[in-house]
Amino acid sequence: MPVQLRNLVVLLAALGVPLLAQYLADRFALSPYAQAVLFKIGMNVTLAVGLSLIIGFAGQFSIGHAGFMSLGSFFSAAFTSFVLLHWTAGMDPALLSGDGFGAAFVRGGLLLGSMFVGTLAAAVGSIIVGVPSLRLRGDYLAIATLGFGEIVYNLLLIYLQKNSGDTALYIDYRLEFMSRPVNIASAWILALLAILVVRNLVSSTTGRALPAIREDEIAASAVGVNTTRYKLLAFVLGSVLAGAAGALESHQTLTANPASYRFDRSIELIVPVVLGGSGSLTGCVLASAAFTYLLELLRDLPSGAQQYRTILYAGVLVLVMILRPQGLMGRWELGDLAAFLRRRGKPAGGRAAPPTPIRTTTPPDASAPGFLSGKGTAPPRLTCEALTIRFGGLTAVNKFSLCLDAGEIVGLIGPNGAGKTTCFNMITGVYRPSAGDIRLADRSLVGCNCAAINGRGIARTFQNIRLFGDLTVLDNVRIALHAHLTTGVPAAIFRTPRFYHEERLARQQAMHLLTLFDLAGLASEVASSLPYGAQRRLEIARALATAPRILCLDEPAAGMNPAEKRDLMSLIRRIRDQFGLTILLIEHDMRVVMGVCERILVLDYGETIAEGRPEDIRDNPRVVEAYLGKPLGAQPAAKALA
Amino acid sequence: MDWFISQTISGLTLGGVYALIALGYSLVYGVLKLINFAHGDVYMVGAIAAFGTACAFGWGQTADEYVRSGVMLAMLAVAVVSCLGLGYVIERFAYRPLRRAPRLNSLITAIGVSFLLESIFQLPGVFGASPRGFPQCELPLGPIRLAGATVRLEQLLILGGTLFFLLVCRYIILHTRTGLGIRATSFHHDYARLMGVNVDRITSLTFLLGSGLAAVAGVFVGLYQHQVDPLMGVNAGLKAFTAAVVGGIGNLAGAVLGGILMGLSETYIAGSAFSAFRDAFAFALLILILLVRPGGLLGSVAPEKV
Repeated sequence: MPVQLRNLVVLLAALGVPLLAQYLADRFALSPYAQAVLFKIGMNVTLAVGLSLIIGFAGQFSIGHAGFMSLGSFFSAAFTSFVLLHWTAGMDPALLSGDGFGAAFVRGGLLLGSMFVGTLAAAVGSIIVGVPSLRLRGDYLAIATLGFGEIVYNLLLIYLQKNSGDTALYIDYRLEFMSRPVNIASAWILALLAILVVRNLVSSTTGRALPAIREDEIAASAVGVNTTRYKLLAFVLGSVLAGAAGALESHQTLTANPASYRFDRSIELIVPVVLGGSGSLTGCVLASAAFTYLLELLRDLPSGAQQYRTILYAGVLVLVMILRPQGLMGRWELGDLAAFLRRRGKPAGGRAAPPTPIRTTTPPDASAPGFLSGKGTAPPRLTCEALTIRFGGLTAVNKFSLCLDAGEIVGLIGPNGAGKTTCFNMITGVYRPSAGDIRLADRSLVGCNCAAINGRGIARTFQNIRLFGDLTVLDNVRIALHAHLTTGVPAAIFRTPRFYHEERLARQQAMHLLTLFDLAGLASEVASSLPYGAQRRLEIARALATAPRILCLDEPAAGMNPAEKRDLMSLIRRIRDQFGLTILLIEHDMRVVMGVCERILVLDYGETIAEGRPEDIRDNPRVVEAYLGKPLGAQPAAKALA
Repeated sequence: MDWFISQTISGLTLGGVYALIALGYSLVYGVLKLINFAHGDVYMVGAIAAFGTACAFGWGQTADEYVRSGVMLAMLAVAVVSCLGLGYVIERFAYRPLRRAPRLNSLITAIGVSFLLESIFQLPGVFGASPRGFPQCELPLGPIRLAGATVRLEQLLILGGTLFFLLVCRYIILHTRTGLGIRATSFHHDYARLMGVNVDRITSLTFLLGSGLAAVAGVFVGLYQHQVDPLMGVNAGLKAFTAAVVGGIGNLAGAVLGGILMGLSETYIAGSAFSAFRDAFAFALLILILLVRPGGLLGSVAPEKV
């Protein structure tokens, strides 16, 4: 069955679930209370899924999420009231309240319109909070959303009190969904759509940028992910879902009460996400459904025990956090169970082969079709002109100048603290130089962020390996292919034919690179479980996946044994030739530096003290002095001078 | 002008209280990089402990000056001791097991502890859900006239007390071995440990210091606003936390500055025609600061080491 048809069947079957649930609820005349609980489950699942996208997948803390619900609930209710008051005034009443199909259509349309207005309000709100706070790393989003939730509450309350003297907005007409009052089907369909959208997004090459940001934001931007954009995407999408849920809730209860969307509600939303296992969609859906039901059970406690409800709830929360920090399901998904069952059906032996050292014989062909070819031109020239950076009073690098021509392998050496990595950080946009210029083919790179610089063709590895530790080896490389994709988020969500084509291509390319680095057998292992040398190789493979023209390697041989170092040297030359790269290399191991570099720059205390061919550098007295100190005889002379 | 002076004095009084609480947030954030959501509730416990002591000693019924001053000191002592104990227990049993867990876990645990404290104190057997009036007591001096404005003696007492405890805190941080340990631990856990700092002990002491300051704030607010309730920590905590961020979280002078700023702006706005926007303004200020100066007024965003 073609994949498109299969998707359609799955979608229709999935949409059947809410309708069936509604039908069964009506058929067996479930009590209004039970129906309300089922409605609530649908809503809370929607909310949990949206929040799981923000917290679990993108790793950002939104702790004022109820504020977006509040916006959705208030603006949709206001819209409905406004339409009922003004636009339907001259209308035939039968058109709104009649039994016919037309009337039902008008009511349903009005509900959809109101929900749209509500989600729009939530989207605008999330952009207002997200844009300033998501540019920064750390807890800023948490703090800003916390404040935002309170602002929304305060402003809505002030508005309501000024205009109606009341503390809530009431809708005086029950809108309908499919000729029924807002009900189980509507909430469950919303939940279903939320699950599908988020699942499709996070299981695509585009969407894997989100867990990459969660794992290591700097590394993510170094492989070309525009981190602010993706964080904002996750945040706005999650908030939009909250807005939709809020809109639905206000039309079910016929009230929009800002007081019910304050900090405590936000926490109630986060709890199932964390309990279920943040980063597991299955976990958060199950946990939020179970949690909603359990809270209702606690409501049924005898009144004497009522007061212990919050105590019980808070106590369980603290205990679970301490005893099972990763949540009940960890990162486990339903899809993993299917994969496990499939694996069991097949004979054993599909396991990864043990890692083998890099073989220099019979290298695979690097010029495979797809993203990595097509940039056949010579690498542009990179020049650094009098690059200087100061941290407070410390000048870490002073007037660093460098000219990298196409296809060179240049070494950057110097004692610890000389400023080598700082140079890399300036070139790749992690730090902004205090003075000087970096030019790539005569265009300045100063002020560009890491992702933009990676897009211009400069890739790097890190001194302290920065892999996406919790993701698989394959995913680490696939994420780096991210910038070459022509399909974006919509294609990932709607699963267009082009999406499948590119997804296949991305997988092929990634596997190709892994084969080149002898990592193919480890493709499905978690990156952090790899031995040190393999992690270093994976980092180079990941950098190459961004199809760079210039590759900056920061101490690639650190922690490798002599055999691995020998292999690394031939590997560096090989990738230069096969990919047609320019390579800039920081390294402490002199055998590697002297063996592979064609030209060497020596830094000491931020100053360039020597530059030249390896054999000249080896004998340069200033270099020897920087590494080993002055010869004994020179000391008195220096003293005399002073 | 009179309006301005009296509002300024009230603002400084409120700001001082915020500063005392904000210091706790900032200290703990510095050492653990954790937003200690339960801190507002430690302050609440301080206020309630003072309330309990005041009731037990019949404060407000006796006319004897010495007895009254003695009871006031006892209130302070009981509040501080109970908050120290609470702060230690929270750190030891809720946060320490999570030292190596993802940050979100500590955050959720902090919120859980906060809810736990609030709901325990709302039990009828413990304190009850509704606010209770703090026993009132005529102070020897009536309202004082200052440049045409009326100032309550409590305000001056609180201002003086706040200043005193801020100086004590400053002394501890800057001039004691513990303070040096706190500063080292804030800088980097492992480096501090390598230099022989007992990080666990320092973390506990930091919680003790923060909790003690919160207790003092609790007593002052009880005296000043004549009312305590189990949820009083929620709003005050949120405001003080905002103050800490506005000043630059992790920066102690910033926490004090942020607290004073919050207190002043809140009273000015409350006394103006826009009084309804009091809380909205505080949080709008927060978002504005994050926008223009992400590190806060006195703090700075350190570049991450790559």
